[in-house]
Amino acid sequence: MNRIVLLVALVAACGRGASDAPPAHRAFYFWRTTFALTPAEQEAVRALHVEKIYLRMFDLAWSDDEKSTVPLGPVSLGTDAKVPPGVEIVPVVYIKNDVFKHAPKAQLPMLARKVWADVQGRAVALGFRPRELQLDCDWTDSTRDGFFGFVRELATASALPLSSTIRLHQVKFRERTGVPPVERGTLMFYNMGKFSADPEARMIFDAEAAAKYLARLDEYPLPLDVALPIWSWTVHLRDGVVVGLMQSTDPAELPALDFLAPAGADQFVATRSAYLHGTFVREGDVLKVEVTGPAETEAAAALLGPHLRGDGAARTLTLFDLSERNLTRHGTDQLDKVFRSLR
Amino acid sequence: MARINWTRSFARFASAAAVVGFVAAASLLVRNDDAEACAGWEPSIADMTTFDPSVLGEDSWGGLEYDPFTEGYGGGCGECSTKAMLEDWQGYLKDAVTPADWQQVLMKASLADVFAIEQRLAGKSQKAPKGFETSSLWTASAAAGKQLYGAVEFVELLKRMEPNVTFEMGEQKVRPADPLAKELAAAQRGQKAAKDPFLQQRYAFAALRALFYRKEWGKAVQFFDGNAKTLAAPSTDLSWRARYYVAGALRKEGRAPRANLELARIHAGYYPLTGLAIQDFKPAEDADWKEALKLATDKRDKVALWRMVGLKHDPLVAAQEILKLDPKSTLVPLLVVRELGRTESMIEATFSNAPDKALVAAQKKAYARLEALCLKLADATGTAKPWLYDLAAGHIAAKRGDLPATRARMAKAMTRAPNDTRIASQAKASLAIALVADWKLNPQNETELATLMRDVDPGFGRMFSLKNEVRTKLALAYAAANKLVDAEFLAHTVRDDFDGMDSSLSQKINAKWQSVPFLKGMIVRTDQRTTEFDRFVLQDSHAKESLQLDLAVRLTLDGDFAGAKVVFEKSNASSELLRTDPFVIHVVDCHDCDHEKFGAKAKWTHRNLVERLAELELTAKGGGEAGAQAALAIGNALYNVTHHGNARSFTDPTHQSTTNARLAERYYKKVYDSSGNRELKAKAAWLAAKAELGTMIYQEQLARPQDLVDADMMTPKTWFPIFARFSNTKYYKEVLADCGRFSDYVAARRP
Repeated sequence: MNRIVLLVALVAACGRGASDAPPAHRAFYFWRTTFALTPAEQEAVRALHVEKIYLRMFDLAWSDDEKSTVPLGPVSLGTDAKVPPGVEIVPVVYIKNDVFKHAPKAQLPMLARKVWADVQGRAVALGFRPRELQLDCDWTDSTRDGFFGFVRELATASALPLSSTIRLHQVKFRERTGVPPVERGTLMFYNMGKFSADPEARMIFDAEAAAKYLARLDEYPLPLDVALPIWSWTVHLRDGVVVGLMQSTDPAELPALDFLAPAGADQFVATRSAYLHGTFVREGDVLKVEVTGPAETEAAAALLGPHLRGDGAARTLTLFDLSERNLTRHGTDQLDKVFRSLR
Repeated sequence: MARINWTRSFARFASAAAVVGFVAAASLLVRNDDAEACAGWEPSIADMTTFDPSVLGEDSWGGLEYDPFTEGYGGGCGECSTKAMLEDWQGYLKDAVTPADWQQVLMKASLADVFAIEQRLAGKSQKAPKGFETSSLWTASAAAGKQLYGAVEFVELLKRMEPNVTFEMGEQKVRPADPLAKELAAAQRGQKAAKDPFLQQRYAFAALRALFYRKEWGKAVQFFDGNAKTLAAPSTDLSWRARYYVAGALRKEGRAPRANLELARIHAGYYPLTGLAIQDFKPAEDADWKEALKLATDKRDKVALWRMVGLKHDPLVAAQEILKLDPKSTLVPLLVVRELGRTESMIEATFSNAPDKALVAAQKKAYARLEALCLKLADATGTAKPWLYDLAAGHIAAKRGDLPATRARMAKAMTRAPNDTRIASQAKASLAIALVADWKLNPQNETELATLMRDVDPGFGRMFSLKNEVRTKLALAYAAANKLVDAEFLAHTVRDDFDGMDSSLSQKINAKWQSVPFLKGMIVRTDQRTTEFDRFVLQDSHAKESLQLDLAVRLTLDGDFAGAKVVFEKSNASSELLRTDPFVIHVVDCHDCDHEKFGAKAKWTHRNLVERLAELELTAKGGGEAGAQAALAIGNALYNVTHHGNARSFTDPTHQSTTNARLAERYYKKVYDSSGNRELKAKAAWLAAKAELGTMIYQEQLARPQDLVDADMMTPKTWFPIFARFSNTKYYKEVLADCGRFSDYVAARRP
């Protein structure tokens, strides 16, 4: 934590001060496979004056078996699912990079039409009409042509403004990875460390790693929205190496489990083999928790803020992701503070 | 090497992330663009391991192969259900109708067709639906006709149910408010009315499906339990499919423990449904799992549950639990084999690079745990396939280079299971691995290793990875001992790195391919086949004819055209069509244009090019204008055979590919110095400038091998100024028009 604070202080000292831009539009990512907001989530959306929910519709992946692109994990409609009043739903499609390693270029127009038809169909079922479509793809220099070509085709097919998630490496190495042909980008200000057994290593938000990627952020040629992390997860270790990521395991629940014993800071050791949220944890395995609490999210916002270029228009600040446990850990007041901190 | 492992690990995380639908699985630092960009081949488990799981034999129902990218094993078997259904009906209807005609009713007839068939069988119509005019349905005896009528009546129910026995509704379709209500009632009526067990079971199954697709989960379970006897026979296939439906209903109803138990039973009992069952088997929480074990009242069910854990999540823990329940279980060897595959594949077989230290340490621990279990089981009495434990423990010992332990375990395995080719092959393979893990260079070891490798059965399931491991380690050992010729032969067929782009093995061996004595040594080695080890070293490696070509090309690049000519005359050096004219030269090079223009029509081969160069050399030595012209032709050919020119096909099949154009430049200088023809001098100066630039690129590559050379900023310092003096020649004007680099140079020199 000291490290984070120090870096934030340094950056703030060198920064260009608060912008005169209007307050950010407030948004959440919704990434579960069943769309239904719990009462607590609905209340948070209302209390925080959230204007948009970025809703993952499905993943697009390449199937070696079928030799074609296939949708995975489509969002379904939960019981009592309804879009909160006054909230715009922005559909998001996560596209695995390998799609553009395999899918022939000639098939991109057809793929774009299929994706749009699928998004539209699901939007109708969920009861909203998209006004923006977001693509989430960790494209690289080897797949940029395919991804950018697909984006152009999708823009034609949907006739909607498209946005794209932008990862930090895509900002820093934009000469190699290119800039996608979209109206806006959403900078994912997370996933910046590495999977590691090292108790100090942080994957979700690492201020030191992040700082290395910010130098030319204000020169990025797209208007940028921002996504900040509020989630936590548990890293599954065996014999000192990472064997899995337990995304659905809230670190807060670990102390209460009878088959886990504390083993140093932020770590637990399995005293017997057991299932935990679908993961088989072997006796002796170590679970390392990585918590993104209010301090980390605030630090991320403070680190990023001075590097964002304003264009007079309000940007969107999206928190990843909307869930009861993330809301509980951060608290509405704290999240409101985060929403107010970035312009 | 670590980066490749990270990429692979990342791929595992990423696929897991995709399943749960998580936006942020990609890591900034974990990912590696270069690795992704180069990746053209994903290694399979067979490429990553050297223990052949087929030693277990064919009695394990598949599932031998641990696949790091797939949970469990077994895919859907679409044809199985159709096949079983047709066989069931054939057994029931016997000769009442031909199998083909009945298949037509089941698979192709529309609801209207089925209705028309019923009408005709009931004597209410004489019309046969289109396509059924000559069906054997109409020739059945009266008794058979009655049976057929009952069967068709059931098929009619199936056809009516068909549109709604799915949860995947098309965009245009709206699911009925009360789906399958009539069909459920009809199925239940049919079950009561049916006179024989066959139709009773099928109607009961139809009712179960209707309840399932009506999302009446509790009622579906209740129906299954209440009609267990009817659903169990006579069709085995249907009985297991009914169980699969009830597992689904239990899951939907939130009764995960029993759902998982039913899935485990299915997986253990009915092969066609293994893939689906293990995919759906998802114990989530500790309490669920304990409850499932509690529901498993007998040993068979408990073993079935642990079997699923072993195949899907943790073979080692499952094996230990199964041993407690059944020390003689044949599942334990299967799980041990899978755990061995899992452990060995933790680190990819890239022997010329040091793997990640943390992974090596983790693998060591994993091996130690498995070895301890194997040793315990090998010495226990009454275990199934005890030789497997010797074999696995021996293999683990081999991987750490413990030769005595490997020998002892392999000898025991072969004594326990004599005359089994697969076991014998694995024992030899593991011994070979143990030998090379800590290689001591001496004739005894060489002979033993070569003999072991010779005697491994050609059908050994891990031959590729075995050869890869053994030959790579040996190649490095022989290179370290300065036996570069043997090292090169050993390394030649090795796939060193799975991304196919890494040349680190050849860099480590650092053989002197540009040295004529080394090439001659390689050629001589091809004839040394006295010992078993000689034959092993040469096996599937460099061919003599290719090495002779290598030598001829090397001599040519060194300017020894006569020597190169002799190689072709006195050996069987291979020679190929170059598909270009190496004497054609351009102001600006165009490799592809020349290949397109000359292609198969080009007469030039390795051999006749060398012969022509030898002739030209004699003329060049004669001096005068004729000598200058000959020198120009030699310069052109020598430039063209470098990577810059149009005839790099000359070096392509060899190790002599180069960007060094120094020798070409020397010949151009000869032309420049000796000719009195100003146009020819201008041309020689320009071509020398191109060759000088080529050599500059070569030198830059030597200095910084990891970087891409930026040739745009390079200027030939010697020859551009010389060529600039020929501004009054026709050739100069041609160059100025065609070559931007030179026109920029001229422009920059203007005051």
